[in-house]
Amino acid sequence: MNLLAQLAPPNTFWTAHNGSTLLWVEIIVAFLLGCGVVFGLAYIPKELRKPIIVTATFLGGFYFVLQYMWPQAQDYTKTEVPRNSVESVSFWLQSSLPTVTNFNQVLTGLLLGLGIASLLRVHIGRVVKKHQDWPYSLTLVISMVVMTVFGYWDWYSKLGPGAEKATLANPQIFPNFGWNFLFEGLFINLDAVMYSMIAFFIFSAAYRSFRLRSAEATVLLGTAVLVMLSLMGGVLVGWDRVVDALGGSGHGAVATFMGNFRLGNIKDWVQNYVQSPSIRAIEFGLAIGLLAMSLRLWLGIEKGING
Amino acid sequence: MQYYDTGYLQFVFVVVLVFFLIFNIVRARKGKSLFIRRIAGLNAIDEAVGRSTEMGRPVLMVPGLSNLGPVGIQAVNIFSYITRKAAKFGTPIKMCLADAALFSVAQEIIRDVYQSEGVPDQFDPTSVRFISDRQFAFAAGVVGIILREKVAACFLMGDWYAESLILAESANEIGAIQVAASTITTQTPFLIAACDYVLIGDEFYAASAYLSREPVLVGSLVGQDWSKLLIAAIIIVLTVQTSIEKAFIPQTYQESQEGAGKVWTTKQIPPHLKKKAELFERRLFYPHDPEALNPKRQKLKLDPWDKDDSGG
Repeated sequence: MNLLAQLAPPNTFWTAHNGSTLLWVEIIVAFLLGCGVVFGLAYIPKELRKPIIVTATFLGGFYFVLQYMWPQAQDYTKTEVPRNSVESVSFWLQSSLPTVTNFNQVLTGLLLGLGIASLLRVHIGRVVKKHQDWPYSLTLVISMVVMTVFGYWDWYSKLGPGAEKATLANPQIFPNFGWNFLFEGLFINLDAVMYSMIAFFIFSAAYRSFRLRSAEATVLLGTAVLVMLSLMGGVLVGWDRVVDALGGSGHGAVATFMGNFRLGNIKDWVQNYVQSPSIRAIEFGLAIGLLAMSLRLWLGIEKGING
Repeated sequence: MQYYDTGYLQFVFVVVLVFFLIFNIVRARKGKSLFIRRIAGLNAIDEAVGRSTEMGRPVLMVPGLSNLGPVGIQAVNIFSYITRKAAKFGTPIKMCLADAALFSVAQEIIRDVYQSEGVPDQFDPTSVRFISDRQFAFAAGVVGIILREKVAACFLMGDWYAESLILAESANEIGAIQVAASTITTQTPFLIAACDYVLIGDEFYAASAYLSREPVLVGSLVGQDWSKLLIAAIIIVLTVQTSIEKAFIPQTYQESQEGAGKVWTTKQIPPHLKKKAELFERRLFYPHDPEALNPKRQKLKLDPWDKDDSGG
């Protein structure tokens, strides 16, 4: 029972070749259909729109509930016949997953277009009206256009129609160089610069947090200092030698007791018996909150704060 | 799919949690009065918006890297409440998003808020902005807005990762009052260090019930508390049971006697030497390996071009 035609020959409606006329027709029809649905939803009355959205959400959610709950076939391969109705459903669920997740990607792509339109509207508006700091907006618009052009040019020269022939006869060095320069040479480095700034922000935030303002801040400071010291090799060795000397030699009760105060053991205790349980408790709460929110959205009973 | 790892336990557990939620929603809808404790971070929302109004500077709202899912929707829910407050006083707002899908939804929700407050002309379409879906490009863009616009209040709520501290410290630098919430527990300490108020853990999800007192939301919140109590009870019971098992109940095993052919004798392992896999608690959560298929499946007749044998 393979409803999504994964086993059909490659030149059917579902699996048209890359660059074929059929694929282009499909893309155009799907685009027009998608636009029709979006504009249709925008213009129908509000009271009619809500049930449609709630039903679509419920059906979409129900599919993934089935994915999670329905017993799935062990060692599933698409070359086998299901043995019973339970396996038939599980085969259908497993084979349809890539297609269903593609819906999500298509929708995300459509909405990304809206995001980019908003970004361009804000920044082109700023440039045209010469708002304060408009050169930054101009930089953003130029960067976006140049990156897009080189990205597509590079892709077209490598993977577009006729790309293999073009690469052998006439290697496309410039688009690749341009894309590499912009992405690897500029973007990645700028990303790293932003990331490295976190170190300074951690320092300033830690300075404020660790000031002895209250009992809680004092406990925080003490614990943090112990954990930090345990990560310094020299301090760790020195501390442990003092503790061992106080405990005396051998495996007596005093030595065993003093062993608890070795710096590594203190750090492990703090991390395993104080930090981890606290984080897990918070995560339990978060997971249940997420479950409740998802359930309300799925069943269409989420009211929102403003009703 | 989940039976492979956890048997029917997880399925039953999820069903019980869902029952708690739905039962309490129904209970609250019937008019049962349910109590919610005070949450300081949410009480501070009015204070922060009021401060922005007095200073004539914008309120900034950022849902982090949240996408169009429960976390993002919850963040926008809280932001819609803040926007309503801001719209009442004519305080400008800014909302920055890293997800294009959430951006589209947020823009519509904020537009609706201004319309329902009777001031649709106050809504500036550029106040809700998509910045970038790249983490640090997004962080750089938002920091630029914080510093240039000199926001007076900053609400950071949603999925936060490494960029959280960059934003929180930048807002702190210009003296903005900050209320934050992160569903990513590793970022919560950073936000506590840098912000004035932080919603910890599920307080983020409790916000809508706390602010609106809507029966569905309040009932759901009480259902969440019941679920947490159940989890706590299971932890305590299994801790006690495992301790008893490791202290008092020995493990037996069969051993063949040397030189005596196939004669087996039962021997005992001291309780404290039990392996994890032999404990009741372990067997409860990891019941068994899947059995071999019986009968085996038939093969499909495929077209000769189809060589791909992989699943999906």
